[in-house]
Amino acid sequence: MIHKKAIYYADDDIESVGILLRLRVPVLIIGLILGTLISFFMSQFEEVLEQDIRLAFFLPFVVYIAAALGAQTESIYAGGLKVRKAKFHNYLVKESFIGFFIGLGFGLISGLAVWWWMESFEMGMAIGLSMFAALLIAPITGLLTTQASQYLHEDPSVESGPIVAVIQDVLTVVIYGNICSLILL
Amino acid sequence: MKLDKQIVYADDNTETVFELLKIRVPVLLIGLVLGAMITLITSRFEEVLQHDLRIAFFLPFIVYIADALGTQTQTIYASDLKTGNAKFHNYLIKESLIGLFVGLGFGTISGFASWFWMGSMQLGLAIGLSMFGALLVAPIMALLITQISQLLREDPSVEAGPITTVFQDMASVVIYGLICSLILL
Repeated sequence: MIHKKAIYYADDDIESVGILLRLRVPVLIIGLILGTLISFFMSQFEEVLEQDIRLAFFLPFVVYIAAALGAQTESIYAGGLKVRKAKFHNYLVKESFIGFFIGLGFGLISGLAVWWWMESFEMGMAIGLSMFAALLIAPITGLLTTQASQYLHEDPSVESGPIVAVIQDVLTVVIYGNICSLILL
Repeated sequence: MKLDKQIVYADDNTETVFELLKIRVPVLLIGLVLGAMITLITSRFEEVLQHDLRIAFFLPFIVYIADALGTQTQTIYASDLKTGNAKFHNYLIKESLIGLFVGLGFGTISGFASWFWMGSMQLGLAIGLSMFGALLVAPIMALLITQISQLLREDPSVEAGPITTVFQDMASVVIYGLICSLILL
């Protein structure tokens, strides 16, 4: 489990802009390529967006909250792995519960808020359920992707960050699109 | 520059699910409240979204890439602050240049790609320029927010994470909505 790769530190105090770009751009380019998947999946849900454009208002919000929860899991598990006493099994059980409880609470809050604001019960239900499902999945995705980075000997907290985020975002978009399509079409 | 606050570590190995929730939920709740602002801002751009629904396809993508670049800045600056030798002035200059170059490159690529995919030069121009604008601003926003967290003696890499992202996301949505409205309406 020892990191064998040499790690280059990006540091604006000492490195030139050219070196900094060389350190930072490669993973962003992978992010740019994988990120087109987000647009691709979005385009698959054109029909339901056409039906009610207000669905687009809530999408970046749901994506944001799921990413925030997943990033917590990622940084806690990566920190635990560094000191080498993180047990995957413990994390899997507890992170599943955390996803479930936070999903339940936040799904309920946002569902009711949307119902009240948009004056549509169906829409509140669609957003609330999407929020629940996205938050249920987020910590598990965060955990699995961090575990995968660990196997690949990458420092999960730095290099693979953008890649973990894109997987999380794609899943959220797919969940949101499917649940909205099921309820509203 | 030392952090004086006692930091409670979230660790799934030793803490109960309830303890973990107590540590993790507060910042997520702030995120939920601030995140509602993302929705509010997106809803201001209903007119341009109605005008061309396909704009919604690219929104989460641009938000994602701007986040990824900003998170890099935040991680690098936060860890450099911990060792106590980060000079804000150096970072401000170099991060601005990084935003400019990454923005130019990625804006050009995504502008041409969306022009080709959607068959609309105007849409390509709007997306390319928004990508440029969002990436230009992202490292500077992240730098400023990390600096503010440091002044408030928060650990920027853990506690403030979701809050940094929400401001970044708001900025991206505003830039995207304004540029699309200017070009397409």
